[in-house]
Amino acid sequence: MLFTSLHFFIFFAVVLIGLVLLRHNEHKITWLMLAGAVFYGYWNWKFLALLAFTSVFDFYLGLRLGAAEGVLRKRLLALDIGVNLGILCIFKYLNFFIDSANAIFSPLGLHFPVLNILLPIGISFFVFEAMSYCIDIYRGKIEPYRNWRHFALFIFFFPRLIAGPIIRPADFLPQLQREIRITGPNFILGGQMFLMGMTKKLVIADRLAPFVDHVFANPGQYSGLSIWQAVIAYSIQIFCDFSGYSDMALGLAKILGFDLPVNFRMPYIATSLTDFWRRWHISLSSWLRDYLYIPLGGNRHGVPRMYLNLLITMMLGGLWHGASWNFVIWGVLHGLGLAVHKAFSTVRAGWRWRGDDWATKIISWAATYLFVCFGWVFFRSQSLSDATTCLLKMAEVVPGGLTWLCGPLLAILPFVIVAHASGLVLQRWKSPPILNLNRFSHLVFLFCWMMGIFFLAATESAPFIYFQF
Amino acid sequence: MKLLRSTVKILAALLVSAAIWEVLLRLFIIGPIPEHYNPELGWISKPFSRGLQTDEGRGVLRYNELGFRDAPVSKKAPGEFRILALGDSYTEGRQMSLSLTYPARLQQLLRAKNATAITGRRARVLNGGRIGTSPAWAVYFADRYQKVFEPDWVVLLVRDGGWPLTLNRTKEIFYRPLDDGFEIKRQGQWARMSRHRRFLLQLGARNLAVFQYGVRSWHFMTATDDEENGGIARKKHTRSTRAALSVRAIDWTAQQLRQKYPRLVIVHMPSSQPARNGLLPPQPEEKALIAACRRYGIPLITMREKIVGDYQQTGQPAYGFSNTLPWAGHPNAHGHELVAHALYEFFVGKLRSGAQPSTPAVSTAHRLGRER
Repeated sequence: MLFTSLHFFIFFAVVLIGLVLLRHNEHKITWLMLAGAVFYGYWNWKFLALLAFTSVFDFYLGLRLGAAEGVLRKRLLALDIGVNLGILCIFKYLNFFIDSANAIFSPLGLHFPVLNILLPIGISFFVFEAMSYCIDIYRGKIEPYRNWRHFALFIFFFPRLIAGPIIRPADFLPQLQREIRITGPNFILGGQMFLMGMTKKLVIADRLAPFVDHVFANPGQYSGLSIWQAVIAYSIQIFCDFSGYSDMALGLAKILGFDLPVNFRMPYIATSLTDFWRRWHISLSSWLRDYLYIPLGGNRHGVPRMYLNLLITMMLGGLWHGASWNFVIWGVLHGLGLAVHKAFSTVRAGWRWRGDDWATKIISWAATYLFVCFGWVFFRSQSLSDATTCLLKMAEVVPGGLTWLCGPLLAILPFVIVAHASGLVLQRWKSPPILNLNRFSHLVFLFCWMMGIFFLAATESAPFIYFQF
Repeated sequence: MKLLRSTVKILAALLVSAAIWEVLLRLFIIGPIPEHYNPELGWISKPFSRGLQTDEGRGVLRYNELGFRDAPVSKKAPGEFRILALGDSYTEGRQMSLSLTYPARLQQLLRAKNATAITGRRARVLNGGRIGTSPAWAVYFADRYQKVFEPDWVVLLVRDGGWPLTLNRTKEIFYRPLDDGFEIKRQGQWARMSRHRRFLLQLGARNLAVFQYGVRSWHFMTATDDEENGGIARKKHTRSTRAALSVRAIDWTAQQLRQKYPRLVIVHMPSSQPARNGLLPPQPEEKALIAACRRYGIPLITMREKIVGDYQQTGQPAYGFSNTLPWAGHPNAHGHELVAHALYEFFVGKLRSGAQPSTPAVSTAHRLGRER
């Protein structure tokens, strides 16, 4: 069920009613866990078994890990990582590896059959979360949980089950120790976050989707100017789509009384690639930093090794998004960009020039945004050849094609710029403004907002982009 | 008491919000054009109403005393060469300013010096397009149109999707199939209209932008596919039966039009699709129309080759707008321009030669079965 569908509103209302009627916290936890099972089963009930297996396997392995010492501890951790990555590889990457092998070995007359494997929705998210539980136990960050239902809720928690944010057990599980209550302030603040997410998704992202989809499906037919528009539109679409979903997830969790980590902090105001990755999909980038980059050595083994670790981390981060060489290239590009930025920062540290002037900031911002858009071409294109076509057209190396003005982009761009500027001001506030529904003006504002979403929502709803990951 | 106060506050806030959005919608997005029932012409756009349409393209809308998107219709002046352009939304052209629609462009072309020198007469082209109608309207109202407008020539622009609508019993005017033809039926003012729609129409709720736009938004959120071609006909007939009925309806329509309009030219606009980046292949309706016009001696202009050839030369799609996609939806200003030029060539040729109305002429070559 999509968060923006009528079915979900009914489902959520039932969940809320259950939480209000139930008295004991443990019953509420069970109720939420069952709600998560219903939510996930609605997509495909067959994969509930996979989710259940993950919750049972990692829970019991965590218990054993907590009690083990020495080599056994390492072996148990290796088992957990192996099984979880194995699940991911089978369901998500097996056909990718088979296709790649076929491309290499087909000149020798060898051909491996591609398997008909359905991709369980949200697998990239809950597998990473399950792995982080055992890794944190191994590192001594958390103690193994004795209550399976608590851990199961960590896996089954439906607001973030399908497309994140990736939550850490150390952040989520302690919240289950306090009573789950639906409070007025949480309801209002969560509702605001949810409406913000709906606005980004339905009013902005879905309006840009038809044009973006059409141009990227037929890049050869369009001129460089049209493709530039499509790339910029896609950069806005993917941000509003994904951050919109994250906002809705955070809002729903807030209504239920839980706090999830913020996943985006205005990434398109970043003035460097390093800054960008501190603002974009924060839950994934921090996960990769803590569970991949640092274990690889981070920056502790010299500069060349640091660059290599960055490259590997970003490459695998790209592969996490999808089983395609386009995503690998996208990850490698960002890895290279981060390495270059780090090298430049090191060199610049020895200069007198600080680079704090406005001209430098604007140039840095423009260069960062253009680089990110360059990466989006690979991320969005349906194949490498399409990505190449797009880039050649954008550089006017291949002229010609239809120049089509994207009206929605021209209408939306000023709002996005104003929203980012407002965000720069609002981020200085310690807490976000909360509507006071006892005040008539706030009530009018809320209804205007809701009506605005209803009237301005795109006539065709596009699927959430990150569902495919 | 507290509950009552809260309820009143909420309702008041809703009304204020609705009022705010009514203003914003009217200023920037939609100025609703309410429907009005005319006993002689049926449901039309409200006479003298003004509005705005921005969903597809952008059009500032003004309607005359007869509910047509045109200037008020004056009595035919002596020596005036009058053309009546009939059709549906493709003719009405809400997606652009009136001056860019093909009737207006045709009028401009015919009033140019060289055309007047040929014709010796001042041209007036009336836009008689009515959104949501089918060719059945042109058949049913033929006598009325001839009397009110006194046209020298009638242009009827048709599209493939319009033919199934002639059989749609939820429409005000539809065909009832008989063994040897059809019977054209017109329903009463409120026939087959749901009670709540009738109530809202009588209430004048459709005068409100929040209502009309809200219904549109709700429709897109909840609508099933192919509702336009549905109606009761879909439930009764299989797909092949409907296609056969459409073909019969085309033949019958051509026969009726031949009898009712002494000087008629039909323009056929092929269907397009964004996914194909161009036109759909010729549909059975297009082939049936060509055959029917040949049979009954009706001049037919098929725009297929013109649109394809023009696109190959200029790279400009004939359909689609900046807020939609290339080849999506209605013909754009470029598409209307192509139609206007095709009609201009036809009429100048006719007037120059002084040919009689019974002489069939197809000004654009077509080949049956040619596919893109």
